[in-house]
Amino acid sequence: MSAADQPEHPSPGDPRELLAHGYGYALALTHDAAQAETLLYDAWITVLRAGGPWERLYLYPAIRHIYEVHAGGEALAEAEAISEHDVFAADALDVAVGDDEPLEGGEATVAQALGALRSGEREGLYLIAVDGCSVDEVAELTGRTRGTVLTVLSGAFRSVRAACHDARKGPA
Amino acid sequence: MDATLREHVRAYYARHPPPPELLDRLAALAEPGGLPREGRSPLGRAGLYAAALAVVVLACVAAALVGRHVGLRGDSPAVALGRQLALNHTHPPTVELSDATYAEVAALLADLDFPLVEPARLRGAQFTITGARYCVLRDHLAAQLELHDPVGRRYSLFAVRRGPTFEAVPEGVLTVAGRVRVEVWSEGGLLYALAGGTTRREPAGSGIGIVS
Repeated sequence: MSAADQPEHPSPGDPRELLAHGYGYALALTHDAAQAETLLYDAWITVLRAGGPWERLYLYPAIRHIYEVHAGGEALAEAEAISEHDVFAADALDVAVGDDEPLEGGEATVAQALGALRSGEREGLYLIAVDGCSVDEVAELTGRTRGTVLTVLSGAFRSVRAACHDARKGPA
Repeated sequence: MDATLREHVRAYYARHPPPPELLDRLAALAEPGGLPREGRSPLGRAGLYAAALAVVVLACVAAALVGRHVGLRGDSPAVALGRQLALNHTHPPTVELSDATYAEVAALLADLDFPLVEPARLRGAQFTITGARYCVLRDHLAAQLELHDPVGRRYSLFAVRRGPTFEAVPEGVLTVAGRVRVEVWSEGGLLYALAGGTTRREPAGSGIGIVS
């Protein structure tokens, strides 16, 4: 592609902060640094070539789409397949997603618990905890319903809590 | 006092930031003329294919948006590279070619910081080059060539300058996720890797490891 072929980008400025967040998001999906680099590179090239705005709303879905293509859609499909009927009572879910209870666990335990989650669960946790998204914003970014997002998040919170609890109890 | 789960998650990702060199490289791509140049293929389909790929991805993005509005693993360098190679192997080439030469591919991928030449190891292997693209390997711009053997099996050949990043990567064979065979070797100051071609696991002890 020549310089003349490169679209004028509508978002002048330094994109490093957006890219750093995009890397974290890709890392949440893959839980693998090398794969996160590859996803971010391919998604960024795609956004630049299309002249898309330098916004999370464009970069994240591009990362997610490329991840789905690479992974054959298997990993994220697991999360999508969760039935709306599995949704907990709304008030309980809001408590779970708003989780402010201290967590009994060290860094290593939490890291291990994150690695054991499905990619869709890590994705939800990242968007809520790191990017500070609301549940509705997570639904918008991931193309899921609010109910599915709450179910995925609730499952992720419970899994991490259970892993930390088990680690604290130690081997039986 | 124990931290909340959110604080633990934030701390985890804060401990695993992106490499600054990666951000620098990606930010440079956004400068005028910063995108890697991929010349026109002899078939004249390169631009169309690249544009089509971008349009498909962005169409999905736009459709999702419009629809809504209306270890890390303790990886060794070889294992980390193996995963990255296998992931890139699943990606289609940006430029489709028909039995191209290495010189033609080198002309298409003009922004590589090394001369792309046919590795001696593949001479006489009867591969045909059917596509090419840039990719990134451990934060270095690399060439990815799509090859086919005489019986139609698809491979990806990667080439990147063998700098300090790759010093700890041994030569040998990796099997990634039990599916993708990746052979890694050095020639003429470059690191080459050939992915694909078989689905069997390498026998134990025959290579540099199996990446699950």
